[in-house]
Amino acid sequence: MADAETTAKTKKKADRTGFEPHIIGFLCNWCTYAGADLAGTSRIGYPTNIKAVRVPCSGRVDAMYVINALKNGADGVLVSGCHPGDCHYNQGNYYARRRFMILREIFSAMGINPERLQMSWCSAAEGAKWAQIVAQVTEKIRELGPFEGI
Amino acid sequence: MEQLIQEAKKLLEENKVDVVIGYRSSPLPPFTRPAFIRRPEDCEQLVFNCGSVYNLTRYLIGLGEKPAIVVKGCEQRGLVVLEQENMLPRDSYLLIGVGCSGQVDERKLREGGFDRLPEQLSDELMADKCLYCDQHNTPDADIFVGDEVESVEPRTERYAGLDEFFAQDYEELYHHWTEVFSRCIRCYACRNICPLCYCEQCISYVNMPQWLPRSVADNNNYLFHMRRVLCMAGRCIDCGECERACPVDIPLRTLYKRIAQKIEGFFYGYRAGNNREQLPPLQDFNKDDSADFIL
Ligand code: SF4
Ligand code: SF4
Ligand code: FES
Repeated sequence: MADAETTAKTKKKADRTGFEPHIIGFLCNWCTYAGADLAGTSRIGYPTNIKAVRVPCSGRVDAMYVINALKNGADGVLVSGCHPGDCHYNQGNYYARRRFMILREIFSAMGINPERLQMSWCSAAEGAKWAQIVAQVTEKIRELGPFEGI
Repeated sequence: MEQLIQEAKKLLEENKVDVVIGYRSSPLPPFTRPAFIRRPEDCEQLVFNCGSVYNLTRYLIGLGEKPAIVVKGCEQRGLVVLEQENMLPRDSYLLIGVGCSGQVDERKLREGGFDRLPEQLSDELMADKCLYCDQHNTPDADIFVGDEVESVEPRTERYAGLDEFFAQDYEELYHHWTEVFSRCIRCYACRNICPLCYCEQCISYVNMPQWLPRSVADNNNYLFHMRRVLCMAGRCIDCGECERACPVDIPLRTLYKRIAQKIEGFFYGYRAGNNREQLPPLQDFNKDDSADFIL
């Protein structure tokens, strides 16, 4: 057992060199997804670690999506929606905010660093902000290292 | 419990209800058994004592008869949640209220080496939820039977010890819970007995897509329980039934209570089932919810 643990630890260390985090982004169709598009058409570069999934609203993102992403190999998840008050469905992002506040608490209680779940507000006009968010999140997850739970 | 028997008889005789759901004695005192009484002459069987541990509200959804039901103070909160979630209208049952000064904890009894209850139920043998109970008399009862319990001082804190326990670092907590949940045999007793688990198609059954692999291999148990914590967030009324039913003594409520504690802090003192007017946190939002983690 002790041996297995040490190997696991050394393995983790070894993996860290050259570690590129996998991040799954759930982006609201009406704002962040368009914002990411804008970043693209404006030729603003940002880390390619994020794989975008387009959803109709941040309120559509079930907590299970996040858990499943982590279970299936993601090192971090980013949920991004419209700014408060700007949700296309008026309230979706408010519900999402509560949901992920609670999910982060569940993560910390069960021993998963809640920083692996990030959330942001980013509008269709904020291409530059999007690039900055992705850079920030990638850096955070890179620091946390590969996700080895679940 | 003469009054309970009389009231139950009256309800059945006057055809106000089809069935009275309560407790009757069992061959293993102090424990009782759930009773479904449909004839007035059977009402004599009804009892209520410190062995009436079961949360009978579990039976109400989909019952198909008009019931009157004996409900303890703590369990009444579950009925409020079910009402808020539009699962059980308040007028679909008659609520028989009781005063309860504490229920025996089967596990403590067994571990203490007792085969029957000493004369008086002492704090040592009492379920922990009763030690910090603040609702000894059923609120909102249609009929209240027996004596009200005078105010009892709580002996422990509801969230005692949680802050210390969860101060461990993530790795330790992760190891702790994977180890604890590796004991789980996936009998689903915790889910089946929970008064608030009513989904006909539980997500743990769904296999297209399969969110929660069913085998106990890998970390699937951890995953199942994470999902259960999620289901109970803002809903668990801390009745203790899941832990009582678990055959392998998994301390499920440590997690449920931790989340309840956090929710109480985040969402303006919310406690599941305390107040009809205050919606469960995930059914509701407030524009001023704290958002300091959002980029
Ligand atoms: S999770 Fe357990 S303590 Fe909470 S309501 Fe369900 S059975 Fe009761
Ligand atoms: S009752 Fe216990 S063993 Fe059964 S599924 Fe729940 S936690 Fe697992
Ligand atoms: S539509 Fe963008 S968050 Fe709801």
